Amino acid sequence: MIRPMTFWQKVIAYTSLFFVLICTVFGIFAIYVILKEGS
Amino acid sequence: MKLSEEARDVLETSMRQNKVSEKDRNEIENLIVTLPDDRVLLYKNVDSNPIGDLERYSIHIRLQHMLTFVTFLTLAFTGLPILFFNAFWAEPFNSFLGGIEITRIIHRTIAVVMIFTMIYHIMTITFGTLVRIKEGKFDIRRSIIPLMKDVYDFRDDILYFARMRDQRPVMDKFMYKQKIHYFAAAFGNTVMIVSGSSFLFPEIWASILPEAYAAYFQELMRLSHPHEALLALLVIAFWHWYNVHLAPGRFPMQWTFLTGKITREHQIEEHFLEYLRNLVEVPEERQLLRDMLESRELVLKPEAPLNDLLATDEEGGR
Repeated sequence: MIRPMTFWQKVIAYTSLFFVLICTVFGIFAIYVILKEGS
Repeated sequence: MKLSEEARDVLETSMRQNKVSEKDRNEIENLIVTLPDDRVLLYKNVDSNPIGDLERYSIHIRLQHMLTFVTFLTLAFTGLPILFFNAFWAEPFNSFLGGIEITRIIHRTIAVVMIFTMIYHIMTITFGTLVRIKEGKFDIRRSIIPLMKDVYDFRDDILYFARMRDQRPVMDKFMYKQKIHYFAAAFGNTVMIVSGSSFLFPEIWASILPEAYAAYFQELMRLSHPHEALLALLVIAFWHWYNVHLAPGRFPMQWTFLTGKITREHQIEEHFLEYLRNLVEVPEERQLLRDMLESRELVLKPEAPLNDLLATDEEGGR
């Protein structure tokens, strides 16, 4: 059982997750570009 | 809990390497006997700090992860507009940085940092291993080197997820998934360095390679560089981030890359052999586990009286 995170731990964890999701969108864009433009 | 042969061997090796006293040895043995056989019961009941309980990565490894993480993303962000320089979105991006020449300079500078990180990492693992060998504490099972066990673990884990096995396999410090990921990254880095350097220093590569192959090599590298980059990006975005951010039990983030520590729950679930070593190396961990077992009434009762009873019964029957 993992204890709940404190407020600041949650801030760090969710910020990091948000960053990762933004970069995933970039990843999807990269796939789109490579498929569309060819390499 | 009755330990499997391999778990017993890991425990014995760890106790021998750490020169554990007779008293501690008895304490560890007595504790393990009282552990419930169901590891799910064990890891769901232990108290874990979300940011980690048990040491896993040194400051060097954490620093290398941080450097790789920053350089990887920067290289991906600058590499794409260099490759597709005349796309509608690439032009504003490049001019924002000061023109494509600047984007290329940034890309190459960051690449140098990435190469430095790889060298730093190779030095860390080489010296770390040498120190462990010198201290008599090296155990190949505790390293990232793939072993036959990983193949069996992979099979057993699939069986577990298909509900054809009731426990996950007992895995070591680095499980099969981590080993695959690590060597994929090592291979990817090598491809990127070789192909990238062939763009920057074609004449050096041409002087090294046989004349007949030099031009062919350039063509091959020109193809490999963007494709390997895309492959790496896919692995990071859809596999690595799933494993460390989105997977149940890890959401919203696994803290190991910052704190260097793993939660007790995760260690017991996926790296039980390493947890056995923790019991040997960290005496406080033994006390903590014992207290938890007692407070949750999970202590496995010794089987001896029951066996005695059955034996008497059988004899009586005859």
